[in-house]
Amino acid sequence: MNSKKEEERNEKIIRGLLKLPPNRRCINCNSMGPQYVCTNFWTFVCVTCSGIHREFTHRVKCVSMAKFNSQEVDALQRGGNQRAREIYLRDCDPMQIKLPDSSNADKIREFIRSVYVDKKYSGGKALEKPPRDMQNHKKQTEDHRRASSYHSYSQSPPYDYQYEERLYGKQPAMLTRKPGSDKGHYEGKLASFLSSSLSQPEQTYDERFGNESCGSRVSDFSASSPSDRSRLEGHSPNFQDLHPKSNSNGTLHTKRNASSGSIGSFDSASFKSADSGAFADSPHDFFDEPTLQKTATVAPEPPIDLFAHINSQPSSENVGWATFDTSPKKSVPHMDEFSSSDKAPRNGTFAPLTELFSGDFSCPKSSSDLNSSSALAWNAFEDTSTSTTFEQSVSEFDKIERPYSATNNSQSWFSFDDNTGNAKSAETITVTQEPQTTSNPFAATVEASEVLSTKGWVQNLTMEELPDFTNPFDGVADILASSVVPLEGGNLEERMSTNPFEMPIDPHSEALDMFMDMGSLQAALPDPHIPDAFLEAVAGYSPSFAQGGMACLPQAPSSPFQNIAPPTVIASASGNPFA
Amino acid sequence: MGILFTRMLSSVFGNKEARILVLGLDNAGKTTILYRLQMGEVVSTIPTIGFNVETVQYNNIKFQVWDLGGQTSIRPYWRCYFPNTQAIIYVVDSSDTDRLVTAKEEFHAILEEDELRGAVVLVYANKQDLPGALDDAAITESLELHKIKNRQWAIFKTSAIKGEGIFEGLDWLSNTLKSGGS
Repeated sequence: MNSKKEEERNEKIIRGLLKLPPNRRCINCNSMGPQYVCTNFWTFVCVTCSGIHREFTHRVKCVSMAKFNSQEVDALQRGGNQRAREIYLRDCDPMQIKLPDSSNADKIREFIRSVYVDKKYSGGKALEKPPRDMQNHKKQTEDHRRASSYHSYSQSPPYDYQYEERLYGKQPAMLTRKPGSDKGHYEGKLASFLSSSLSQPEQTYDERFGNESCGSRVSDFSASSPSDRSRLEGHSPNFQDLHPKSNSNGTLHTKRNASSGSIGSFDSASFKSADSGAFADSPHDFFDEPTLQKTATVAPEPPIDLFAHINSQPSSENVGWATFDTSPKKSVPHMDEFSSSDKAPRNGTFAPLTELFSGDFSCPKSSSDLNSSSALAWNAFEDTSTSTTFEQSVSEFDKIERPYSATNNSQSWFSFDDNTGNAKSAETITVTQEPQTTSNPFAATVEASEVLSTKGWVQNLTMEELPDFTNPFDGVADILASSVVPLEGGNLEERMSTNPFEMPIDPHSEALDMFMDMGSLQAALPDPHIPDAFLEAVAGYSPSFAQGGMACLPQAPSSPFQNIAPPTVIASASGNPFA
Repeated sequence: MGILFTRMLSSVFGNKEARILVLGLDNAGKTTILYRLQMGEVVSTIPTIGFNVETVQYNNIKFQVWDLGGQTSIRPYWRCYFPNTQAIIYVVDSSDTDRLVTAKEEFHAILEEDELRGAVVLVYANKQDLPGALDDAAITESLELHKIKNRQWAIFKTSAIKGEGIFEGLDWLSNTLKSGGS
């Protein structure tokens, strides 16, 4: 049997699962504190319902009086009330369904029969895979219930964000990855991002989910999560959001990298797509402050996972941390991270980072950066969810951007990175990392700043970037990656800023999915094309940005800047927000 | 007159009291059997936490039937109820083939208890109404009942839901107890 340790661990996990909002109430009668698990459906039920489930030969186990083996725990993690609802109450409007009262056994019996035995509400769609398994299970062997069959299905996790995240956190990303549907979701998300910012919140959620699923397990069982990132973890939510985008970027990057073979290879194409997406997202994010906050709260778990992934890159992270600590602001942290990480590694580390990106996901670098950035971003959010903070960050950006731009000029691809970093750093760095920026400044960004002054910062950026991109695609690619991340994060400003960083991380969990989408898009866009795409994207965005001159704008600019041409963008962004 | 006479007889010969434990894995049907015996009908049960105890008068024997919860973590507490027990009713879910091994292990662990040395064993191969339920012979095999030494035992196919076999088992029990001890 299981060792004591394992038993304890399993019980801990189950106790943890019981605390998830969806599991706090009996799935059948909504009574508080279910203490039994129906192992046929992996639901948490109250004692009354457990007795009735037994009448249908469903197996029940008491959390406190039965022992769960690891398989069962795993299945339970993948299951739970939320998921079960998605399966068995799929056709029910949650608002309309009237759950039977716990005191009315007959009603409960009726309910259980119709829901789990007759499967009246399971619908055909969601159940396609799982239901069959389930049915077979039930009919053939009523007593046998293994979660494995249920979990085979790839459906995306429910939208009970926190809950899902937690659940998925525990559970491997496998679920999200495995299902082909996931890819579809991501693609759809990407498309939606590009097309309209309105859908961003949802998309971000989805992305989060995906991310969460990957890392959530780790985070939930904090033991596994790396201590290094522990600080960042709290902020990590941003990263999660970013991940989706990053995935897409990552996929793009991988392709591009392969072709270019250089670090900077990040792909202008990816930039374009990312930028456009990011822009669209960013405006929304900015506007939706509340949503941003929400996302931030939700995001924390995913970040943890990311961190775990990222652990490998301590050095870069450390740098980012230091900078972050000094100036924890909204988007600034991201920038700082980038700048710090980018700058520090430029000579030595940078190439490795790019390699990472090109290769798997470049997760280490990006992840670490993202983590730190996310952490910072989170702090910033917490500190200043309002526009005032943004403005500050913008002003900072302006200051910083210039120096960065200079650096960018020195090295084309670096410049891009720097630019992105600058934009980010501009926000964050202004506060804390100004010294760094100054050290790096190459004056190349001056133009960018000028451009920024005008409304068409975006346009300027695109213009400026185009030349840069053609040559320094690598740098642009990096920037794009950063920008892309924000897009995924879309919900919040922080996300936007963090997104770029997350990009690299995302690849781990969702990169594959995103890959497909981004790859197709990017593939269509050759390097030379990229500039155009960027320009277009920028143009499209520019209006919003110009309009968004408000507090919101600053944030958006920061993210776009990162993505596009850091110098110009930054300048413009700063100009708008400040104005 | 006749009634009076029987009562006198029963007071002299019968009306023994017997303490009986109903044991078995969780969800074997112990509680359902208890209330089937006591009330003659199927009740809606919930997983037993602790125990249920009822007295059942049958064949001039007053059975004090203890139905103990069968979930994993509370099985160790069964031993608290072992002293002064005349009989064990061991209930097996015949359709739960996955856990027959566990059922066997628990069963033989009980038989090795010193305090149950003198107890007779009645096995209910319950849930015969379910498709795929093993019959009494298969359960006998699974539980390795033939390994029982120095003890009276019997196995009955039962369906607590349908009320089949339960009282036959109790018949055997009452007869055995009557003949076995004073």
